[in-house]
Amino acid sequence: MALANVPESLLEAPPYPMELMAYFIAQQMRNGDYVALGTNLPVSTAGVLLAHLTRCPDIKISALSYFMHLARVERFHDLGQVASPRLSRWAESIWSLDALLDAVPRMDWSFTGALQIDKFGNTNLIGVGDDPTNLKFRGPGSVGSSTVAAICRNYMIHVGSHAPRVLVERCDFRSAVGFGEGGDHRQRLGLPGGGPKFVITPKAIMDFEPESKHMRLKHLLPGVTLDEVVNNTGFELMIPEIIEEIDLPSRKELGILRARIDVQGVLRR
Amino acid sequence: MATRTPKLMTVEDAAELIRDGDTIGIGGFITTNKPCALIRRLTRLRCKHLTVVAAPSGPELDLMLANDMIDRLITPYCGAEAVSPILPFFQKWAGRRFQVDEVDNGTLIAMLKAQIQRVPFLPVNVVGTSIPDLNPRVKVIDDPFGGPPIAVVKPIEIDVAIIHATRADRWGNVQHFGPLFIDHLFAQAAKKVIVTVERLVPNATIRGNALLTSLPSAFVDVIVEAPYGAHPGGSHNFYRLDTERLRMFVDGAKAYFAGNPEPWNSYMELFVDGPATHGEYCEMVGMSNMFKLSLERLDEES
Repeated sequence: MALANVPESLLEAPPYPMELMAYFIAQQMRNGDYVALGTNLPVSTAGVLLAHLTRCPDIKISALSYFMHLARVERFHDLGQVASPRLSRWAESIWSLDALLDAVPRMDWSFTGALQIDKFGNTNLIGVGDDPTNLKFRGPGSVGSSTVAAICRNYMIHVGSHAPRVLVERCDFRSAVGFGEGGDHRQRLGLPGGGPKFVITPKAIMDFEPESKHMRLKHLLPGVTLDEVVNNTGFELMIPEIIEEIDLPSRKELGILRARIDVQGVLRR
Repeated sequence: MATRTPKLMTVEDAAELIRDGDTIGIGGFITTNKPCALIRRLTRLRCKHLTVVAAPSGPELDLMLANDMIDRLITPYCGAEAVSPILPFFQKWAGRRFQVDEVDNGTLIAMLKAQIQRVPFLPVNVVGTSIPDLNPRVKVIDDPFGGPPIAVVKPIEIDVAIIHATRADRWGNVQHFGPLFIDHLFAQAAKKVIVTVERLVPNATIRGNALLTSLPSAFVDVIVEAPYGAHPGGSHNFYRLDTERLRMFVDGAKAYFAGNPEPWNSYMELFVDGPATHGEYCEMVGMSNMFKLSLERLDEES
């Protein structure tokens, strides 16, 4: 189902960074995947919905307590609130939080934000500073991330800015373990899930080198230089010999993204 | 024949069951189904030295923090999503004016389940995170079955759980028309359970759909009829978040930290200290404003 006429004016602007981040996420989804959407994470929500509305009608979405099939939703009014009363009317099942946690081992993808991310994909939502009784900046709290990141099959980390204060040598606190101290540390800790797969910022997409689990550049967003990424990363980022070009959304995909998914234009900023 | 004892109380009387120094559990989730009417009353009374164990929390928790009611806080989140990703009093005073025992949802759930099951601890998948360093109830121990060291969490005793739900009968049978979140765990873990509801219904209505009963009367001590009792947050099937009044809270708090306490003081007077009862609070907000939050209006705005 597509909107009959996407106004030409809506497609004039080239894709914005957050739209490209969402598009990258959309491309990672496979039909049938079980995906958890988070609150106040519009980039990943848009990405999963774009996949769902185009290639992946069988994606299984859980947004907090609601299991929903959303492919027939004409317009999404608030990407920040997937568990809103408007969308929860599409729920086919409603689970308690502890039951949902028991379902995480079957989950293909989840998403988390972070105040800090280090070179091994560990993330921090707790705070910045060294003294927990006198933090420089107190974060919102770990929410579900510690346990979900430990168990989920794969997850992605996405942040709103690519800066040395975000991409740090070492997190001040860890709310979720990525690859710990690198190498096989995650396995040695006994964490059952696969760990972080991608780190997505408005400048670049990163993955992890398979042996060392050190964060590695994968794509630069259009118009971003390698120097800009290197200089804005607070640790030594691994740079591959060839940096692959990032795929851009087609006009049709961009139309769906702008006219149906991101009605408010939160990604067009 | 002896008669069954009703469990009904007013918001004002129910608040008296919570004493300074108690450990209280708060149900709901972020800005949905929070027992706000009861928390406003506790705030009006300036209850002190509380330990609060809460599901992911919103402005009702920040209001308690603003009034120095909490000594120790155990919650995975304190924010209001897009309106205020981290709430101001939590952000500025965490660790300074109150202690935070760090948990994530999984750790909090295990802490409650350990209490319910009366086991000395339960394992959680948080090894390698900072949670064992930042929470005295979480420790990393050797796995007796030979695996890598594992984090375990100790149970927590809860004196009073406070929960908001959709409807109940006078005997304490509660129904949620939406997610339970972890309300059922608080109800099972606590020594005393207070549930505020949007509607009080006859027992026959409850029995008419017993599958909907989320908390049977065996787990509930007090029922409080409090329509709009989760305002300014949302309530399943009744009303959504009042973004306008949530913004007044956040703006007042931000002004306070910017050196201008006036907007915050007027917020406190208007919303907390002014109205003597929950009824007066609803009158102050105004029913026409409350009705604007009706879920049916979502269709008109589409």
